[in-house]
Amino acid sequence: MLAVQDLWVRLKPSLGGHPIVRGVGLQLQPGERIAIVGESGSGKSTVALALLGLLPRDVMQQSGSLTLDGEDLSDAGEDDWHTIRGRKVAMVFQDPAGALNPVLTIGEQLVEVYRAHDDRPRAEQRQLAVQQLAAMGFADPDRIIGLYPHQMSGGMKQRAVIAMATALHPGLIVADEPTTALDPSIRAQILALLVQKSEADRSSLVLVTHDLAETVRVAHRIAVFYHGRMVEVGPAERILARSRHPYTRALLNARPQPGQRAGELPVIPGRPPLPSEQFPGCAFAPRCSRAGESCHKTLPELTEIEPNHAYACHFPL
Amino acid sequence: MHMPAISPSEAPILDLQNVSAGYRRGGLLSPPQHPVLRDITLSVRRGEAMGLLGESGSGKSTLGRVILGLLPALSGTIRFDGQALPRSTGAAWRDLRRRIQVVFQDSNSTLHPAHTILWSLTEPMRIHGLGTPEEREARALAMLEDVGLEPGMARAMPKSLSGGQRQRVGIARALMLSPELIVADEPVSALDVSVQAQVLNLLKSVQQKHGLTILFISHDMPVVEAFCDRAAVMAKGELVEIGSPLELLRDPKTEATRRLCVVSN
Ligand SMILES: Nc1ncnc2c1ncn2[C@@H]1O[C@H](COP(=O)(O)OP(=O)(O)O)[C@@H](O)[C@H]1O
Ligand SMILES: Nc1ncnc2c1ncn2[C@@H]1O[C@H](COP(=O)(O)OP(=O)(O)O)[C@@H](O)[C@H]1O
Ligand code: SF4
Ligand SMILES: [Mg+2]
Ligand SMILES: [Mg+2]
Repeated sequence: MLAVQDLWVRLKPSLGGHPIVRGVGLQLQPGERIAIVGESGSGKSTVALALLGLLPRDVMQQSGSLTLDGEDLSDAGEDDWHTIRGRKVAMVFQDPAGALNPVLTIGEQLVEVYRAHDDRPRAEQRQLAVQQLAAMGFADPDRIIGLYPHQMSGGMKQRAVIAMATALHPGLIVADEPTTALDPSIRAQILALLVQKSEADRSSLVLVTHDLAETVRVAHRIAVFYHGRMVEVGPAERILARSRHPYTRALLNARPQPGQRAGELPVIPGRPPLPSEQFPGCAFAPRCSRAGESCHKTLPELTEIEPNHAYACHFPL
Repeated sequence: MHMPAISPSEAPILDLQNVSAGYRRGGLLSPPQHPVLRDITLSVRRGEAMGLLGESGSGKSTLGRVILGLLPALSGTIRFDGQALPRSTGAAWRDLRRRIQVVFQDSNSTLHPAHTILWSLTEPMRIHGLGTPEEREARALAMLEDVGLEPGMARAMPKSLSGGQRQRVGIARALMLSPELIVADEPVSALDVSVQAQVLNLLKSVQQKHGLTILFISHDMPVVEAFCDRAAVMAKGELVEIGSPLELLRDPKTEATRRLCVVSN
């Protein structure tokens, strides 16, 4: 189980000290899948990196508590994280090429994952690798195992990355925009694969995405981020059908709907705010059609108003 | 010569017949690899917003490059306003460059990082030797207004702009030479969803105000449906289907179109 409490991430004072993540809390049960959605700069990737112990320490400072399966990782050092990553938490990023070693075959890289963590005979590890690739939906794992990354398409590479990330059955998978760099036609397959692995291993999944539509077939819950804060969180169907936060609703309506014409598309005015910008009240107020006086003065707290459904808004929908 | 009777508005501004194109691996004299575009036939009416849909790698940007004269066709003919485009990309293109402009996915590539927005906006007029400095600046300020930006933006540097502002400037720059056709290659794909609709609305109002024809390249069916009068679907370098976006959505005739529709829902 993952538990995050009051997570703050700030740039180092010498870099301005702006908060990038502002007091985020999150609990995930084994096998539970949550999607973190929001526009660029809202702090999604920073949260993902914090869950993986990968924040750039020379640039950012973190506070708050983080526990995984009862183990307090709030102050874990790089050595601790080194043993945790791969075995307990796994990561899948946007660019699969960057996660693979260009001079090793997929098989060599996968065997390497097993070898780092147990001392089975090599032939057995190779057998495991073939099985793992078959479980990733590769029809011909015996051929795939001998391929180099450059011989594979983007979608194949991302499958291989997921194979390596989940080889040791980690309890938590963090996937940051895992389909953004892929062809639209294969995105659904990659997401289905992540769901399948999470179900098979009862592992929790944090899916970071800027695309609300992507969350539908994946997540039990959706958390919406704006300006470093979680502004709404709840069961996925509920967020998609009956979101109460005006920003969530605006995001849902931002994609052109069939029959709408350019020139008359509904718009959210302005642009997403930067971490360096400060708002005494709600950070969405300058763009919100419902904003009243209190919105500009008082920060709305994230409050569970309906069962399992929390939002931070003075005038919810 | 016999000409078929067609009303002026029906006359295509852009007419491609059996166009093929490809990239060479080595120098100019090396043989082209197997063509990236095969036998493209497409007619675009004046004032129309024509979508060019397809998965990545299907050849959309390559077709855009051929129309812009940046990549010579291997075979076939391309007519712009009734005249065949010259095969060479040399001097014969000078006048055409004014009449056919481009907007890229990230307009950063057309903005000089060390100069003001005004400098980049007026660059096309300087290259073409048009106007006095005062006239160029006046035109730039008028185009900034057309794309919904403050005149003060002229003095800003590119790096201080948000993604949406950069795309607006990219559109303003494309308008500077009063073009008739704009090739817009994924013009909103890099923008946040909350900003995409703003830029689509803007591009449509600019199209109407300036009477532009737009070739709108995108992989995003809902965006094409909102913006375009018709759309052509490309797959593996061929043009496989053409129709109104609604027809394509409701009754896709090819697997390529069907996949684009499924993805978007
Ligand atoms: N290494 C860094 N140095 C300085 N600022 C950073 C760094 N990484 C992220 N940021 C800033 O933090 C904010 C949030 O970034 P990020 O978490 O990547 O957002 P998202 O993934 O939602 O787009 C952005 O404004 C970004 O500029
Ligand atoms: N500069 C280039 N040199 C060689 N091949 C290229 C170049 N640009 C594109 N290609 C190839 O041409 C094909 C079509 O690419 P492109 O026109 O960019 O497709 P799209 O815009 O639909 O994604 C792809 O196979 C691509 O690899
Ligand atoms: S608190 Fe006010 S400004 Fe913020 S989302 Fe709610 S209504 Fe809008
Ligand atoms: Mg990110
Ligand atoms: Mg392209």
